[in-house]
Amino acid sequence: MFFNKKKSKAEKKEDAKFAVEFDSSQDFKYVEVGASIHDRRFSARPTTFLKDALKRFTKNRSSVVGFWIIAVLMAMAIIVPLADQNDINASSLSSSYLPPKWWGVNDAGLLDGTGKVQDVVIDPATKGPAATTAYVSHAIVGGLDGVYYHDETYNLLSETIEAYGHGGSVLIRTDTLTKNGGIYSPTFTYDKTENYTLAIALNDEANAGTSAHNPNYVVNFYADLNNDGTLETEIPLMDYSATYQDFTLDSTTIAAKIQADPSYVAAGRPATFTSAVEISLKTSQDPLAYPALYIDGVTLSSDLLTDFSAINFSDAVKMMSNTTNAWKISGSGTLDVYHAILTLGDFRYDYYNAAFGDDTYVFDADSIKEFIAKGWMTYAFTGNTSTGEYAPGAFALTAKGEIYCPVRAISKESIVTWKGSTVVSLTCTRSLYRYDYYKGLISSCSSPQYFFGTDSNGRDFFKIVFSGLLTSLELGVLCAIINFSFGLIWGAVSGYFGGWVDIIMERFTEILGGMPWIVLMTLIAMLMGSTFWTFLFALCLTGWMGVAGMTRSQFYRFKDREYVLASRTLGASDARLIFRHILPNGVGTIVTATAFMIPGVIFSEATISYLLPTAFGFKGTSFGVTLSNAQGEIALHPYMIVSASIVMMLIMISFNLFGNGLRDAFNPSLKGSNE
Amino acid sequence: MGKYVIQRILLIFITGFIILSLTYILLQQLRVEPPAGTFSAQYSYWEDQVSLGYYYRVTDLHTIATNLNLQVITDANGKSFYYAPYSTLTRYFNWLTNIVTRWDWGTSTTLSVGKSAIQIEMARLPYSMRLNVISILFSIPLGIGLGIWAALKKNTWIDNSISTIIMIFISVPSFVLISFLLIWFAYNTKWLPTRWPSEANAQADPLLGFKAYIIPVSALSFGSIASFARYTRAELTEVMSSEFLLLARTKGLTKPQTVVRHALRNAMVPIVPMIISEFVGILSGSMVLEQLYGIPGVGSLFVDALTSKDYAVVMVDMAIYTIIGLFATLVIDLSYGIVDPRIRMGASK
Repeated sequence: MFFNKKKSKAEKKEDAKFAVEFDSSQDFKYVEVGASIHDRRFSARPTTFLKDALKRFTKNRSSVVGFWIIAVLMAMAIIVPLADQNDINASSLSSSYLPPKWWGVNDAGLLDGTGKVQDVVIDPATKGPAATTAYVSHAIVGGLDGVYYHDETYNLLSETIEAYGHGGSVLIRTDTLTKNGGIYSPTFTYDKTENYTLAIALNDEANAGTSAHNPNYVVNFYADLNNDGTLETEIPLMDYSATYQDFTLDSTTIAAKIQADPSYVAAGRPATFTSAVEISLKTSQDPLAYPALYIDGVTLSSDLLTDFSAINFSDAVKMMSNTTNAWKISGSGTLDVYHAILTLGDFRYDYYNAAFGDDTYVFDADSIKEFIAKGWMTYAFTGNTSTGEYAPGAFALTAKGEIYCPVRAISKESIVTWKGSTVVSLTCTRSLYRYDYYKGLISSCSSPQYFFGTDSNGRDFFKIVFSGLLTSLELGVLCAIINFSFGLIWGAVSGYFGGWVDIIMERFTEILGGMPWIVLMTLIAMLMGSTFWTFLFALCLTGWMGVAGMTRSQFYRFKDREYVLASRTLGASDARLIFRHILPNGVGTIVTATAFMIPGVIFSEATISYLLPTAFGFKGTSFGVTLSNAQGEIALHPYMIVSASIVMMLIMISFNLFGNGLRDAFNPSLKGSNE
Repeated sequence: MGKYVIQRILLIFITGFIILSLTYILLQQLRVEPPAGTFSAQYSYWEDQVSLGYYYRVTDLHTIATNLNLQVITDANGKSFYYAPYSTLTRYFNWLTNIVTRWDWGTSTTLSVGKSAIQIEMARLPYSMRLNVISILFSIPLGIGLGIWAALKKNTWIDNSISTIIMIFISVPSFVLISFLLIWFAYNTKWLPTRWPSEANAQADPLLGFKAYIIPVSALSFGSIASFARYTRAELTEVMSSEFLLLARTKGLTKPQTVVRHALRNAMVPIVPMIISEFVGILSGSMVLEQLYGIPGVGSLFVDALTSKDYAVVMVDMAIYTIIGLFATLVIDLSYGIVDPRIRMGASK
């Protein structure tokens, strides 16, 4: 199709020029007449196979990233064990199980060395964690304001509840349905001139008011009418109660019941006698009655101001934990606590503050003198010689002491003089990390920061992981080198010579390769012990086969090619054919396989240490042993397995990315496919 | 082809025979762990060993005094019985005869004294098989489905994210995966049990029995889902770019038609052998998983037997693993022929 396009000015000018210059006599012209024509040098620089592979490798972004991650991890495996001064052979229990800390305490609670703690027993006196727990108040994030208190009820009296619990009802039961049993109070002296009232409060909630829960219970007076020291007489104050409700006996009723009792009359109506109150279940009277009674409190009072504090109670825990002057079990009764209240606290806990912050500590005078001698602090002892506590003398930290001195403040000086000798001690605010440094437990005088936390022995898990990784990498690299060299030779011989040599060598490989590697590993570990070198041996025993197989197939592919034949006819030796002509073709694949071998070895080592940690695990700090140990702590301290697993994951993923890139780069058929 | 397969199967048995023989002889070199338990149990064990032809009773006082390698058991009255092993080769041949004539693979010495190793193995097998079957049921459809999806959406964000996930799951070792699953779903959220429940517990609480499967099945499936997806994606993208598909489109077929009728069928060819070899592996249990989650399968049996030095059980377990391994190689070898009809395995030149 034609367009009648108007020609532009420039085009018109061009046409005119052409018309002028065109000369029909010069239609044909020799271009290179007389010129010597020969091959020219390539103007572009020739590229080698490796350079080309490198060029294409760098274009694969993910592989390059993988390569750099590997490089960084390898560098860390070498540098961290050297640079990190924390001792991973000694153990320090004060800093065990510290969570990872990367920066200061933050609101998110992420990697800041804090952890959420739940259901910690709270001491009602201090409002802080009880002394029996592993927590201290000053390390709670936000102080005591940061604690979320909540009450829990318990039906079992434990040491913790005795110490820190309160409230609840006393639960009386009989151990069989047909026996009687209950409790009786500490004794008091009954004086018939006094007017006694007795009130017993029952827990309605526990019984929920159902008629089926009506226990048959009685209230008795135990009386020692003949003053022989045993409470042999039982005077019923209230007979089998059919209804479950609080009840009160007024003074007239009590007096009437006692003074009308035949035993009392028979004993000659003594004016005073020792007595006790008994509350008892009489299941023998009615086996179908509910065999439990929940008592909230007992109040005995008289018009004279007699002290009944040993008998009266309104707090079951207090009543039951009172062992010296307590209510005792009568008959076949059992005593339990019902709904005792224990205050628990949830809070975020700064483990580093607890381990390395400040606490209160009593130093003896010798330690203080040592600090003074070191030039860390100055202190003027009060010079008192009589036993007592005194306000401290003048205290100051020197410039050096600001950095190193474990004593930060002195609150009092205590002096004990006994048999002529005087012991002076100082109650101080102690900086724990400075104290640890002074004791040589930590390597630098600053609050430590463990990136991966610490393990059960308080050892820096970051250093453990990378020391283990170093061992594993050494194992991997050595194994790769040995497998590469041996496999290459084996495969080359087998593939190049072929025939019977090949068949025999192949069968050998098949049998050795057919044995499950875990069995081989175990056999070697059992027969030769489990050290770095036996481990390396076991891994190499089957590891070379992959390289050998690959080399063999490369040789089968290339050994009959024309260029090899040509070289052979020119008289090249077998070695020259193998190493100069055939091997370079397959080197890419083989190198890639070797690169993949390193993560493979790390993986194998980790697996066997994981599976058989005690019997066959590699002895020492390998990565697998580290993982295996961390696995044991998964329930309570998962941060260890998480950090070790992340390192393992990074290694595996980046080796995979790196290896894939390497494989693609060495594969000439993919040349140009991504451009 | 048929002849080749028969040849290969025969060869498997020969190779397997050699491997097991070697292992038996090597295991016999290790220190024997005598059975624990009462005198009567020990006595019956050793008498059994005598009747099977591995050991003989020593009564000659001179031998007792000079041979240090004797097994001694003493009854309640203080009477001692001495047993000495035959030479390794004699024991090996007796072992072979026992297997061939009576299918007797030996008796457990420490795991459950007096029980035959085969019985123990058979009791453990169902656990591993059940887990493997369930995980195959999940992994094959999911893996192939993900692979197809990724291939059809090639070079979109869907493909990229699927490929990344595949990459991660292929690279991450199974114990790392199990640890993370345990931390998140068992310890932190407490949705799933942290260990395999006992038979009685699982029966008492069927929901718990069901929940116990979730972590092991996911741990087993994620890896194979990833590898199925990767292979399917690679194969399908290759087929999708081939000329016969273009031809099919030019003939007027819709895209779904070309994918289902032409592309998928061709792409499935190399996937099928993978599925078959997956089924071959049903019998074997994952050692790491079973050990970590406390599943009483054949994998943990192997570890238990090795740890407690119960060599009869180790032998049976190894026999299973070895034969499975060899068969898997066969299937993969045969699959070459299916992938590419130009390859005729075992054909002479």
